[in-house]
Amino acid sequence: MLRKLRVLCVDDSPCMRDMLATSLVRLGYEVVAAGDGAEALAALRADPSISLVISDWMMPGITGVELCKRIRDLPRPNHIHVMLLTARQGQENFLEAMAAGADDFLNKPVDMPTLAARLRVAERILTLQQRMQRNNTLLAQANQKLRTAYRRLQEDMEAAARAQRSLLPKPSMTLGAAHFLSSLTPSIEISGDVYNYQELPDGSVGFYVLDVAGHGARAALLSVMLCRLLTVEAFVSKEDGITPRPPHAIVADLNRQFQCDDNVTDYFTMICGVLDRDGRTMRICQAGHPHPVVLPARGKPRVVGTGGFPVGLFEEADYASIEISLAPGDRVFFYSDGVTECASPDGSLYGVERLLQVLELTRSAPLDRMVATLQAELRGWHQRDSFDDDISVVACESIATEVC
Amino acid sequence: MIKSQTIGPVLVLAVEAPRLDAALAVRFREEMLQHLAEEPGRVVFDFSGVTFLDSSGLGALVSVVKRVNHHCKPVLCGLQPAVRTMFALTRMDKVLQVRGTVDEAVASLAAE
Repeated sequence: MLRKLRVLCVDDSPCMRDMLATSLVRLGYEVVAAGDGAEALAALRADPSISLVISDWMMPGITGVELCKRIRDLPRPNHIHVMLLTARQGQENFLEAMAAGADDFLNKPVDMPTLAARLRVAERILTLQQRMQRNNTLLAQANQKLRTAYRRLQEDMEAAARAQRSLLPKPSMTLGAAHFLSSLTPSIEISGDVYNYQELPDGSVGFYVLDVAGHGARAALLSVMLCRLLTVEAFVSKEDGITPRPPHAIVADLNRQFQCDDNVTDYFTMICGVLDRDGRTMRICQAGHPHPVVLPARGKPRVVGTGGFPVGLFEEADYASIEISLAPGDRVFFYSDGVTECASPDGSLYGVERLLQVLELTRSAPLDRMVATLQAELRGWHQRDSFDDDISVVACESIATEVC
Repeated sequence: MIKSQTIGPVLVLAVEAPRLDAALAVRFREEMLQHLAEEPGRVVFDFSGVTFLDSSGLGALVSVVKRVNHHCKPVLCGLQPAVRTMFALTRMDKVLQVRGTVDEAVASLAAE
């Protein structure tokens, strides 16, 4: 016990009360005395440091049992240990007393060694209760802190998600000699898919699709930062500010800037591309991102690209661009691994073959119908409302241009 | 998640995680680094127990390889089809040493 225990001694007989009080003081306790139940309750209200009550059972007015009940009704955060003094064992209704909240009973006349032993038990119980109460308070405080932190985190995540979405282009745009259509289905957890398509000064179109590895705020922040970097300026030559740069040069720049260290692996996969002004030649650099699918106006869809290093993993990685020739009506379809790695309830992945089938089946439908069909397919495959990973798709269709 | 055994002079770490994805990536990295703490010179990563590897799993693997590359060049083996596809897509097969089976991987190191 850290502090001297404060004991309230209640007895209508001054003689008994004094005797008990003297014994308690001798045992090292601080004593407060009361002549009846009403006085006892007043003392308890006045002094919240009283944690133990020894009361006579039979008293005029409020009895010991009634006093127990009223003590339990007091608005006190800590437990008050109550011992009742009994004149003769067996005559009182112990069950009723215990139901009223009595913790212990002592026979009169009080035997000192017994009193000392019972008080030690009471102290032990009170100490445990105090400790438990302290821990409960600490837990409640910690819980409150966690809840606040969690709410803040959630708000931050939502803000990050909003920032991320706000950087995306309009879902449907005609740029240069092509029509672009995109969609992003966000996963439960915030992730790092972003894409953009923008017209370059010479009339060609610069675009990219990008997926930061992992989930959470880290991934989202990196994707937002990349989005801000990959402006029109990043796509054109520094010398004249007009000529589009080869896509692999843009990717190589990013790879130099975003080398992750050995401890954290913040890297991303992307496809960076430039579609020339007449919509006939597309140059792309594939950096670990899934293979794009070319859908000719006539003929079977085909997967293109030979893979490539993700960005940020290896400093020495080299990048190359490939060229895709397009005729008016030809489409190119880009997607994040959220599509092919979308899992069915039994864990099977959606895969490239199914994707190719859907793209072939919807080949003659408008671009937005094609994308909507794929999304419906994926929902059916996944059979849950929310996806585990972002699903981003960008489709591009070359359109016939008037040659003057 | 990692089972370790020594075959001759070679430490073989078998990864037993059918889906090595974002949920396991951090634990995978920590356990691998623990097994590699004594800086063994010849190491094989047996991936035959991994059927799916996502981008977080790949990040963790590359991070382990980079961390140990001053004392060993791990040889990977037992790549399952999806992992093999992922390695081809991301060119990991060009920067990491990949062999078919554990025996082939061990033999390639023992011969050094």
